[in-house]
Amino acid sequence: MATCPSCAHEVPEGRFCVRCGADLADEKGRRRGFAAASNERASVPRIVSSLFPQLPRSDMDTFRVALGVGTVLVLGLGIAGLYPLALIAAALLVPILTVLYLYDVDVYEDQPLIVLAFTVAWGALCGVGMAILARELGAGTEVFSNEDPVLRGVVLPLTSAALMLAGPLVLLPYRRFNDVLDGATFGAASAVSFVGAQALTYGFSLLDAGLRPVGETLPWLARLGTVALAQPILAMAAIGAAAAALWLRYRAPVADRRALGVLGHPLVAVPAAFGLIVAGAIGQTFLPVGLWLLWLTALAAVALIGLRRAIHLGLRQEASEVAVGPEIQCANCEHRTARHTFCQNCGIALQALPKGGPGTRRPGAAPGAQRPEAEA
Amino acid sequence: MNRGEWGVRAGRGRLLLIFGVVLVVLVGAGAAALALSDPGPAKRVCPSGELCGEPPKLAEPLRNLESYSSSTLGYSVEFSGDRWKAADQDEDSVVLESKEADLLLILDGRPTGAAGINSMIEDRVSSLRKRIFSLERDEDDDAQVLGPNVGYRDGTAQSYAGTIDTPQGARAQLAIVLMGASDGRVGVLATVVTGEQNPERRRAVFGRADSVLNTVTWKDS
Repeated sequence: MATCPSCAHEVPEGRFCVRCGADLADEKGRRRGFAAASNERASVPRIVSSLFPQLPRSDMDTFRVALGVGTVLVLGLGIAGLYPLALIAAALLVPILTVLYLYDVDVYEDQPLIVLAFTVAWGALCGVGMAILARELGAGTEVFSNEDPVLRGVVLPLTSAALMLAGPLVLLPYRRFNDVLDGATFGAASAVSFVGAQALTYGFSLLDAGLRPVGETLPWLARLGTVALAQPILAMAAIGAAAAALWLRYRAPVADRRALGVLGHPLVAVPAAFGLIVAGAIGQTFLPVGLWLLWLTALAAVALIGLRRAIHLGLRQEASEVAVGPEIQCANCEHRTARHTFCQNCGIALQALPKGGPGTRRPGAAPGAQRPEAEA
Repeated sequence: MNRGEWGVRAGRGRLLLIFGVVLVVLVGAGAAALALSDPGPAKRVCPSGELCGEPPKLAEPLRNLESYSSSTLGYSVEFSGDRWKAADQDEDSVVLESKEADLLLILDGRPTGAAGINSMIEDRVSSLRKRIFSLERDEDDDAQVLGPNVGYRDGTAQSYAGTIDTPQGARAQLAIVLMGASDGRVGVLATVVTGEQNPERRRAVFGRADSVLNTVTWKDS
């Protein structure tokens, strides 16, 4: 056993503290890695580890490859001038990855219907409804002649953000879904399905223009970038962070509720998330598409950092006074580690790994590799 | 009394007198009426054998259409209020929205000769790029305008296509025709925008815009 220089608990010897994840080799006990991906810094906006935090490292690489290939496909279709097809592909790219993630990490445990209903299905239905409403509010050339930046840049995005968050809130009372990660995942899933469904429904009439409608390629590529990556990532990160704050406030132990500070309080986190969504939308009303893509990217980076901070601190704070358990095999690095909050070898939060029970996971996970609190 | 006992009341002479007086009075009354209604001889404007003065002035035309007139440039256009709505207008331009189709017609005026029409088109394209993303010249044969004219004055036309973009997503493809003409002093540029994609329906929609453009009249024309 060793004394952690950060939390001062007696913990099993290893590279990382199993309670707080601090680097035991560092005399100051600093933890440099992101709790859900110990090889990354918490303050650096990374897409896959932030949006899909419960993936083991090897699966994260798979998702990164899928995201990269999907992006190349979207851009390829755009370069070929097949804009409607590219738009469909762009709108579906991240939502499909998200559904795969939900399936992959078994986040809904034994209640898939209720989780899917109030996250993916809720988001998709609301996205379709909002797109229809937006079309009715400005049909065809009316959009051209009567631009209303307040309606399209503020009112509709605010309503959208509220709807994205409303579905997951139904799951808040369920004790089974009591982790900050659950909230973040539910919020992100609802948001991405909303954004994808809205883009598809709203852009459906583009199909009338044929397979290769007239249009400049470069602006289309930038626009496809917003549909495929920037908008869904911004929505997922912002709503995920807001949901994480709500979960931390209402599902975490009382002592942990201040873990995220003032910025983590729902009264601050939720308006901040809505503000990011509105800021992203209103940029479209006055920026050319290329600059809008950059603007969305910057906002998405801010939202990702907020989400990572919520996940990181949430995971650390949820390491309650659980006794150190027997050795298990880490599903991330596949080394043996004492069962608690963090892997003593790779430093990943064990809670940030798939929820599957014994015998339900892939070969890398040891039998009985459950989350610490499962027994507690 | 028995019939035939009494003779006539006036003699033949008296009878002729009464007839004469009544005839003179009636003829005199008629003559007086004709005299009062006579317009008199035509007023001569020019000395005989010389051309002078102005051509005859026409009466105001019958107006059963709504109209827009540019207060500064003097051009005007007529449109049916049942089919079009003037969504916006100022001293140089008017925006007409069709009530029947997905169609927008914008008329802009500028003091310029025929040579300035291309400049007007360039400025309009630059303005459109801020509202319509991926705007590009449509070189398709079906999109070309044959015999472009505004108000029956020959002009220039270009066709474009682009997409409506909003924060909620990219949507309908727009077909845009820019057509301008000048009377040598004032240029009028028409911007016709429709989201109609069906070629036949789009042709019909453009036909509606064309019927309005044919009513354009320039000042002093």
